[in-house]
Amino acid sequence: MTTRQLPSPTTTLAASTTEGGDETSTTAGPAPGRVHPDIVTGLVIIALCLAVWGVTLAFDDVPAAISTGMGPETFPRLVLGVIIALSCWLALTASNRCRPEIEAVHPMIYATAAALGGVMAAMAVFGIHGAVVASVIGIGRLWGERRLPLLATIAVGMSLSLHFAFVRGFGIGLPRGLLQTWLS
Amino acid sequence: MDAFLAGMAILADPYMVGIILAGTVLGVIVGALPGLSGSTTAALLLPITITMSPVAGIAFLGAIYCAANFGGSITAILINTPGDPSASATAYDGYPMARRGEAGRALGMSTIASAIGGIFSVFVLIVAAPLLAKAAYSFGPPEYFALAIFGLSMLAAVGSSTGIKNLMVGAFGVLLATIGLDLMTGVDRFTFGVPELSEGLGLVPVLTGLFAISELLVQAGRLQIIPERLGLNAMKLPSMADYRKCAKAIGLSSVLGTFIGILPALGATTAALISYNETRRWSKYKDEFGKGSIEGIAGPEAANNAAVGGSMVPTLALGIPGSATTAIILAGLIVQGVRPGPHLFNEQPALLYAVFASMLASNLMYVVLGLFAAKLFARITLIPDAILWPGVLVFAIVGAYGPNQSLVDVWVMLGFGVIGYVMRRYGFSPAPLVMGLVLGTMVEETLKQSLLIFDHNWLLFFTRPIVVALFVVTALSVCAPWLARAIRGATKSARLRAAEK
Repeated sequence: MTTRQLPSPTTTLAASTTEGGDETSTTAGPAPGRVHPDIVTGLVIIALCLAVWGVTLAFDDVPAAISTGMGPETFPRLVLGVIIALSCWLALTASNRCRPEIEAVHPMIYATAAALGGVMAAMAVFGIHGAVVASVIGIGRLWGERRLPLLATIAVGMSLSLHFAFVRGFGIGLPRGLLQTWLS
Repeated sequence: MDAFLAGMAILADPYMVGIILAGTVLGVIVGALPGLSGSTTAALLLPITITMSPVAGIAFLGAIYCAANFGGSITAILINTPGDPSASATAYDGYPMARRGEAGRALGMSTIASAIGGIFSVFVLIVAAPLLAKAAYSFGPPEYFALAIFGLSMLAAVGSSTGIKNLMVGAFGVLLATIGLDLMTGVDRFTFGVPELSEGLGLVPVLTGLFAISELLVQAGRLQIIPERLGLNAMKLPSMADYRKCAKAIGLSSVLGTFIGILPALGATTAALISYNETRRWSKYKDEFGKGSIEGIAGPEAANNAAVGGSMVPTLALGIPGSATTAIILAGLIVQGVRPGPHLFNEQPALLYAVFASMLASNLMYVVLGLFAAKLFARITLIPDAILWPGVLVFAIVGAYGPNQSLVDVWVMLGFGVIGYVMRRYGFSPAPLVMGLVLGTMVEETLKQSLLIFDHNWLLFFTRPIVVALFVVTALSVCAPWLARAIRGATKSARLRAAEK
């Protein structure tokens, strides 16, 4: 068991952004014999941008009668050019920055991502109520909650609350699922 | 004056007071829950506001925004885990105070400082927003283009190492805004044959994915971390000596927080962190900071709540969001058929003053809630992650599906959850993406309109004084971190040379 430790505001400010945070910490100076992660990140982003640039080549042709001004592909290409330039800058200046320590992905993150797929599958078949059960009981159990009656009670309570609050109260439709659509 | 009185009259309407109270209570609750920030909550609850009137919907979101910043300080002080990122500086002195058995005094100061900062900024909002709108009334597409570019450039102004990454994420957001039908030519862009994408990416699915789902994945990797919870015996109002000690910190931070909030893209978190450093710089008791200084709570708490009103100034007067949460409020206004900008002050002034009144009321309500129910709100942190986060997932699904009744939006939300997680893992904050996504459409539309006006002569941008001024400020804000570093380097080497002599 470990307890949370927060960095000081002075160090946090240097790494802060608008209203979010990041998952990396930094160590001073480059470690010998390893490529700086920002170089790899910059190169991967450049490759992705070139792929997206390729997609812009496949945009439909614009009829000559309305082809005045910027074409549909011009603005996205302009933005892609900016991202590529910034990526080059990120990669080229990487050695000036501290090396971020990127921890290995915890196995529970992969398991949770897979569970999210399970929740989507449950929703496709059983609608929102299937998603609630899969989410509350499935992810709850996965994350270590062993009190099954408690999870089942929460799942039922949440399903009923969603139905009465959103469907009856606010008039907002919820996902129905194949089974419910087939039965009705 | 009539509009002002009509706006303030909502405070006499029991329904509106109920809506504001509900928003305030929800804001404090979710602000107190680690991982659930005001922006996530606003995104999750945005679909509910569709069923409300424009005034009620925006008052609800505004109340959540005001209260969430305060709510974050409860957990920052009691369990050393900021419920909202904007409370991260509060934990630095709040938690040591709680360990000394002064949690009640720390929370009392947090409540009062938050309220003073928040109320001060609402008054600035009431005065400054109409003035800014008046100034912007004559703006044409070129000026709006330059303004939107300036808003995006502010993403670079926070820290030299993250500035470039923020700009990249902001540009990625602008690129995402191009998905869908090009309005000038009718050509589908990046839709890959999915009809639901023709109208572009929905803001709500993207936001819930980026903030709620990515946070769920982050929390999955932190299940083994158990926070140490400290008890709260009773709330205690700060003494007169405390007020005297913190008056300068609260005053300075309220002004600083409001100013930082007004600048596009810089939100409450930046305001709190900068104010913490400035409070320490101007304090007579520098040695107490980090060990439980009450000024270290008063400064950031006044600043992060002052930034709320500040960030509403460009949002309402220009349609340029001041922070990620105001980007969501902006989306809420657009969903309600209200287009923020200078014209709003002429067309619907009562709506604007109603928003101001609701923010004022929310700031007063959480003082009462903070002083009398903080102990209750602190218990919210006892909800196990294994119960809390599956519930958040369900609300995220409902929030993403609700506006368009589309399963594609739920998949978009999950996709952006994974993208958000990967971004955070490699040191990219997801918040600038929201700014880019919101401003992207404005950038493209105003650029195209400007070029039509200028007959495709780009140089004519430089014949308009406001555009030139905004371009200069943009260049300065992009170069600011590097300029500051260069100046620091030159000063340091000059000092070294002087020492050698």
